[in-house]
Amino acid sequence: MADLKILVLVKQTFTTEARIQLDAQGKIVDKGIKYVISPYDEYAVEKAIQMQEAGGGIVRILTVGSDKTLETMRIALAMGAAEAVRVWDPCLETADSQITAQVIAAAMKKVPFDLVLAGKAAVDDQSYEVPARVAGLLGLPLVNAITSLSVSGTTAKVERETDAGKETIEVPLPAVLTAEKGLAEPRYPTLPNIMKAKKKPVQVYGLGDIGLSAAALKPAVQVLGLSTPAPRKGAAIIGGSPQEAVKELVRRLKEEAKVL
Amino acid sequence: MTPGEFPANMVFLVCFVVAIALFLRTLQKLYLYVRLGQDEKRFDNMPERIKGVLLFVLGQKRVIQETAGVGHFFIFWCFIFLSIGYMESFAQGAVGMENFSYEKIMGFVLGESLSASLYGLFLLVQEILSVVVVAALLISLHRRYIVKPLRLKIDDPHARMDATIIICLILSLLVMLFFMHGLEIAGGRSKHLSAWMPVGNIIAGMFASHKNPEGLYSIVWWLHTGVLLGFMVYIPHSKHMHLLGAVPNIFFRWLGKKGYLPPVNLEDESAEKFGVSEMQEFTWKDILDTYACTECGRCQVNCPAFLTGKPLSPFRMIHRMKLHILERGDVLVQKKAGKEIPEDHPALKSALIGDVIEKEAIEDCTTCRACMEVCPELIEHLPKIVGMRRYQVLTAGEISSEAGLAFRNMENASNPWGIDASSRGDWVSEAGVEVPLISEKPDAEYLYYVGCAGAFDPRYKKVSGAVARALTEGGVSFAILGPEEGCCGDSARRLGNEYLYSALAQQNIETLKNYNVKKVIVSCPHGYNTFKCDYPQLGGEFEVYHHSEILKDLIAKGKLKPQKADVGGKVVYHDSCYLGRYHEIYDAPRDVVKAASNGELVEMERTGPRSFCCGAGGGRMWLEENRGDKKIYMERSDQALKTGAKTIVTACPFCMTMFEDGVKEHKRQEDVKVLDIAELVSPAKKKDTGAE
Repeated sequence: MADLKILVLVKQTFTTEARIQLDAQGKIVDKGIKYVISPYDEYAVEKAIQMQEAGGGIVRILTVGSDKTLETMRIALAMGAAEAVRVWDPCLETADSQITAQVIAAAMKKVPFDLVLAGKAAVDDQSYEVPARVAGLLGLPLVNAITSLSVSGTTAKVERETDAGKETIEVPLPAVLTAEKGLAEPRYPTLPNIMKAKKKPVQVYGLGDIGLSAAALKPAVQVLGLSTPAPRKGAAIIGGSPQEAVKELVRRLKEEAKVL
Repeated sequence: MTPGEFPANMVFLVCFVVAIALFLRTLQKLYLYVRLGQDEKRFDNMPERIKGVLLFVLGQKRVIQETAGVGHFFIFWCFIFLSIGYMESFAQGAVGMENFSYEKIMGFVLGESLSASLYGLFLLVQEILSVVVVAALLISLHRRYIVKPLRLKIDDPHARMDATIIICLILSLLVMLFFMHGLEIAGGRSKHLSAWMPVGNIIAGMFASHKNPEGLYSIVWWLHTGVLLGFMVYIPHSKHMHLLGAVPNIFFRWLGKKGYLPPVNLEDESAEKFGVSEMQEFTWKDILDTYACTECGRCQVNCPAFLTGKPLSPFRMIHRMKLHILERGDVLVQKKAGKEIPEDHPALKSALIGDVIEKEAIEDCTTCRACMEVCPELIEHLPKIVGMRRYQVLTAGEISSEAGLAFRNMENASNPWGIDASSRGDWVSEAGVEVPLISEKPDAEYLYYVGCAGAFDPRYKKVSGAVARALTEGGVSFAILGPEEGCCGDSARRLGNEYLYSALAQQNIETLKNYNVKKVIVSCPHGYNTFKCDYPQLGGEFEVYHHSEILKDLIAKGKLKPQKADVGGKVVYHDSCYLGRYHEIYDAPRDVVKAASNGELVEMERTGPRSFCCGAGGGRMWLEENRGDKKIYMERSDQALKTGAKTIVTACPFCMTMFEDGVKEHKRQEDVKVLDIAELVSPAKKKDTGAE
């Protein structure tokens, strides 16, 4: 489809290597942290751009985030997206998946689309919820964790890996599809494209612009507190002959770990 | 037709003028092709440039570094002496034998007998040199056709044929010279000089009873002149183009730091292209380089990629670049002059990257600099390779997934492994000594820049600890940046990612300037080179030391008294490319080894300036080595093991990784240890220093 309008939902996250630390108030410290496009979202961006390159069409990026997200939006633009839309209001700082989905769904009324792509989950909170909630709010079909995608006419043909094998699904457009690793290998943007990305349009909307108000946004989840997992204890190597070692292992699993 | 008499002199003059005209026309073309290249200033420091010409051209300094080059030394000087004679011969061809000779002219000033002796001496030198050169040429034919050394291997049959034609042409000129000498004596014209021409005399004997030696002389003279003029026309189309390229190329050679890479203008936001994918995007000197290539192949037999069977050969690369610019030069010159040239013009068909030099070959280079170290013409291979890598990475986006991962890791975590940047200072907990942060000790004399390997590689963290302990014991005032330290950017830059390098470098320079750092100790030779050669381009001027230099100094001053570490027998030191060839630090690490070990220090066959790369330079540390018939690190560890050493000492984290892998793959990790020089010196934790 030559004029396919692809909208990719993108979230900015910490790098996967980042060591998450909490301050005295139990809040995440972001000092010295590098931000990236959430890797699954990046697969979606890459796939969209490959489709844009293969058959024309246009790729837009939509994110919910403060102006700190501009840096990662530029990466998606440098990869080849045509334009970006960012929605922000300070009250969204603590937004849960429901609120984020509501904001995205409202913003999508302003952005034309035939196909919505997103990562299957953001690597920070791993909630897997936003694309599904967006689909729900807009009454669009949803396929999660796809590894292959092709569009002909107004139908998308997708594949997804399941425990039972590969599933092939045909879904009418417009639809929301979320990316699994393997959908596309993200490119490393070239320098001329990085330069061009600096000049590509980034549309910024406040809540009012998309017909929402802070008061109308009700969270579905309330965060009570954050804590980091206890550091892993060192492993133990049990010596002796295999027979002895197995006996000792079983004893420890029974008496110390109490799992048997 | 007796040379010099009418109408022979007219025939000669016409031939001469035509030959000169053809020669000059080619020369002009070659000049215009060079001018297609980008601007670069190479006119500074004239005395040094002239000195270089004397040393490398007249002295043939690099040529005679190997035995086969001695033959060339004589060919070169023989050619100089013969050329002086050729000018006399040409003059005689124009005005007649009787009317012009050096002997006569000198006679006016010096008197007849002195002039005859001087001229005779000149002839004697010519004959002696010619005899030596005939022998040298026969040896070189023997080399080319019987011995077939790897050095001369090239996949271009035309180049092989070319070399043979040249050798035969020179041989024929020498043989004809002897005949001319002989016939001159036989004809009586040079009888008084016969004592100066031993070979000529023998030939004169052969023609003693000949009726018309002068007539024979005329025939040989014409033949000789024909070959000579033909040679002149042929030179700029052959491997002998180096006769024209050598002097300017050596004159305009790079005089700056050996680690130099040309900067890229990253500020230009309208640029559609970065790096080099066409000949004219190189500098003019890069194009001149290709003319100077003698096709000797010294580069390739010192190239770790070529020697392990990979697609890269520096010789082949330069040779093919020359053919490429000769093929398209005319069209490019027309295009530059504003003429419309269709995109699909046949001369513009082949692409520099892909057709002339394979993408794989560009990736294979470890930037070890061995090619540049041996090139008798001082050709600069590395900036070309990095220029093409820049195009591949920055413009074409052709990045292997391994390189892409390393880039992302450097971007996100400021180290190629992608380990959390905030843990950069964690190695100090294992150092066994207090290591202050510069924020705690802002008046420290030195900043110890640990580098990514020193901070994150489990094996090399031990070396950082050893360095820290040695510095502390030696009373050196130093501090580290800890989490504020960033990747130096060497791998990014040498893999062609100038954009990423520039971001990393600027961050480090800014941090160091904020702490008002003046002196830096670097453990990784790659970081050392980056601080020394790359950062000044971005305004980062520091006094930079490698830990080997500091340790050597501490030992020499008695501040550090290492015990003689037990190295289990012989010990061999491996020169890291970026410490040795790039910065000529050969002795300091060896001095440290000698002072701090009880073993006999032995050398590998390839050592010092001829050291063989471990395979990890130029960003190759982060790439798989899939091509070729042998891994470079296996080849180098082979070479090290052959010395019988029980301990291999390095001064570079990449070399250490490669040797540890190599020793392990050779199943020798039980009896051969790989250590850094710092670990020999630092006695406190010697137990920990074994290979892991």
